[in-house]
Amino acid sequence: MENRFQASGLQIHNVNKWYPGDVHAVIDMNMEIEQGEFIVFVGPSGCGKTTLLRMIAGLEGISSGEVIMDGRIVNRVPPKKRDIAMVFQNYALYPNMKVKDNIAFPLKMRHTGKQETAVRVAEVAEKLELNTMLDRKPGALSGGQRQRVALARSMVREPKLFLMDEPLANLDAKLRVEMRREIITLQRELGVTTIYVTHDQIEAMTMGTRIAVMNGGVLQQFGTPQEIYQHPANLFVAGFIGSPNMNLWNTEFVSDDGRCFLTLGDARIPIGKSSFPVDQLQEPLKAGIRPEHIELVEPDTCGAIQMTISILENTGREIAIFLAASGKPDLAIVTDADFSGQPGQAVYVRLKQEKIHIFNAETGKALR
Amino acid sequence: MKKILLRQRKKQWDEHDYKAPWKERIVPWMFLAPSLFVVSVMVLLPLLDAFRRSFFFAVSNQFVGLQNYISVLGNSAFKLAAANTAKFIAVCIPLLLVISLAVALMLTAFQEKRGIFKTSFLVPMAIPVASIVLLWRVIFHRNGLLNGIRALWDAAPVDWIGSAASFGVLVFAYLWKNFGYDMVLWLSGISAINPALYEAAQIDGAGSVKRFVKITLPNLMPTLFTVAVLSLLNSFKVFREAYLIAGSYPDDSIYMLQHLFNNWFSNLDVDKMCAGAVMMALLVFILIMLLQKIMNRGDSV
Repeated sequence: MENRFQASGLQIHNVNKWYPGDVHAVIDMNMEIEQGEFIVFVGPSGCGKTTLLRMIAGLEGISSGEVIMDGRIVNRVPPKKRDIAMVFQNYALYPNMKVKDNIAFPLKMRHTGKQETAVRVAEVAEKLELNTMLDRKPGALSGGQRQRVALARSMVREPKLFLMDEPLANLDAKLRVEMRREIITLQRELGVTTIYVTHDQIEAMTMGTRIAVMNGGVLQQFGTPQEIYQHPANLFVAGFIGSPNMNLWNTEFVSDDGRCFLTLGDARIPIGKSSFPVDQLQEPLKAGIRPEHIELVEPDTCGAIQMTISILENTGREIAIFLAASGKPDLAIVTDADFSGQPGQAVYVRLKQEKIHIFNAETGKALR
Repeated sequence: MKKILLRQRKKQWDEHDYKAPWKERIVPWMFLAPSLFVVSVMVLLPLLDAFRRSFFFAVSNQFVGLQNYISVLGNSAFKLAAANTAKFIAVCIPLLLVISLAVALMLTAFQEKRGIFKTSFLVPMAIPVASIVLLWRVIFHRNGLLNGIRALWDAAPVDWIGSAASFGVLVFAYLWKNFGYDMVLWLSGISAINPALYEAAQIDGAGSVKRFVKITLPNLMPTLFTVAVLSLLNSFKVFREAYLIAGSYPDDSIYMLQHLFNNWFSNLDVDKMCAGAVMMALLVFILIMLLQKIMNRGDSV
C-alpha cells in the first residue's frame, strides 16, 4: 500500500502537570520525537506516562510547558483539531453503533463523502480482517476483535499522530504477542508517528524505536531499546528493564597493590581501572550485572565464586537460577535449558567484569 | 418477559437433565412466600374480584356479560375523563422527560455542588401532596399570589382553578412533583456511560452537539424506558393534586378517570367502576408492552 499518511514531528518542552492537592504528576518533561518514530512510554503504574499521553492528545490540560506539533504550539488546541487518533485501553468503542459505523465515525465527523467513507472502511477492515463482522455490534465481539476495531477506527483517517494507551493490556498473553506484531507491521507500513504507553517492558523493548522510561513523573531515560538495556542511565532503569532483573548490590571500590576490585559481599571481583572515573568512586556505590553476564564455571577457574542454588525457574528455552551464599548478595543468572543442577547444590560462577555497571548509590546515576 | 425467561431456563435445565433436590427447589418459594402472600391478599385477589364484578350487576349480582363495559364506553363522563387523562399523559410525559433530561445534563456539567442541587430537586418528593396543595391554592386562587402579581401589570385576574386554565395548573403540579425523581434516574443513566467514549469521540472529531446526539442519547435508551414507564405510572397519581385542589367535580378540563372512579365509588356504581378499572389496567399494560417493544427494536438496530 502507498504511504498516504503525513508524518509529523513532536516536541515536548518542560511540560508539567499538577493535579489539585499539589500532586505533581509530570515533572519537567522534555522530548524530541522525529517523524515516523514508534515511541514507547514505559514505567510503573502512576509514573505519569498516561497523563503525558493524554496531554499530547489534548484530553488533559497542560499546567506549564509546551507541546509542539509540526512547529505549532498546541497547548490550547482541542483534541479534534490536533489531527490525532487514539486507541484506548478499554477500546472505547461506541456500543450503540455497528462495527462499520464505529470505524466510519471519525470520517463522518469530518464530513467525508459517503462513497469515500465506504471505500476507506472496506480498505481498513480488509487489512485488519474485520470484513465478516462489519454488521455486528461491539458487544458481540471478542476482546481481540474489539481491539482490531479500535485500531481500525484510529487508522481509517490520516492522522499525524497515533496515540495508544495500553491497548493490549486486556488481551490474553498469546493474543497480545500477535497484536504486538500486527501493530508494529501496520505502523511501519503507514509510517505515522506513534506514541505507545505500556507498563510491560517486553512490549516496550520489542515495539519501540525509542523508549521513554518514566518513574514518579520524571523521565529517567530516553533512548533506543539497545541503549536502555545496555547502558541504563540510572538504578531505576537498570532495575526496571530486563527479566530476570539486573543483579544489584552495594559495593566498594578497592585498590590493592595497583590492582582494582569491586566487592561482592566478602568476595572481590577484579576489574580494569581504566574505564572508571576514579574520583567518583569514593561515594557509596552500587554495582549491577545482568543475569546473562554471569557464567557457570569450573571450580578451579580464576575468580570463581562458590554459591548455592536456591530456586530454579525453567522456561523451557532457558533456566533462571537464583543463587545464594552467606556473606554475599543473592544473584540471578540465566543458563541453557540443559542445565541439570538441583536446589541446594553448590555451583561456581564468574562475573564478566566488563559487563558490570556501577551506579552512585545515592543519586542512582550510572557511573559506567 | 419473565415467563419466557423462565421457560428458557426450564428448557436449559431439561437439556442438562439436572433437577435440584426438592429441598433446594423449595428455598426460593420460602423467600417469596411472605411478599407473595401479602401481594395476593392486597392486590391479586382484589384485582380478580374486580374482574369478576365487571361482568355482574352490582345490585342483583346477576351475570350480564359485557353490559357494564358497553354502558361505561357510552358514558359521556367516561369519555370526558378518558380524553382528559389521555391529553394529560400526552402533554406531561414528553414535557417531563425533556425537562428532567435537560436539568440532569446541566447538573452533569456542574462538577462541584452537584449534590446540593440534586437534593434540592428531590425535595418535592418528600413533601406530602396534601400540604403542598395548600401552597398551590394560595398561589393559584382567584385572589391568590399569581393573580396578585399579574395585577401589578394590570392584567385581569384568571380563575386558575375553576377554569380551563386548571389543566395548566395540574400539569405544573405534576412536573414539580416528579421531575426531581426522573432527573435522578437520568443522572444515573448518564453516569453509567463510559467517559472514555466522550474522549474517543472528541479525538474522532465530534463537537459537543454531535457527542450528545451520537453518544449520550443512544446510550440513554434503556434509561428512557425506565423513566417513561415510571412517569406514566406516576401520572395516574396526579389525581391527588387534582382532587385536593378542586374537589370531586372540578373543571371539565381536569376531570380525570380517577375522579370518575371516585364518584362511581361513592355512588356505589361498583360494576361500572370495575369495568372501567379493568379497561384502564389493560390499557396501561398494553402501553408498557408497546414501549418495551419500541425500545427493544431501537436497541437492536
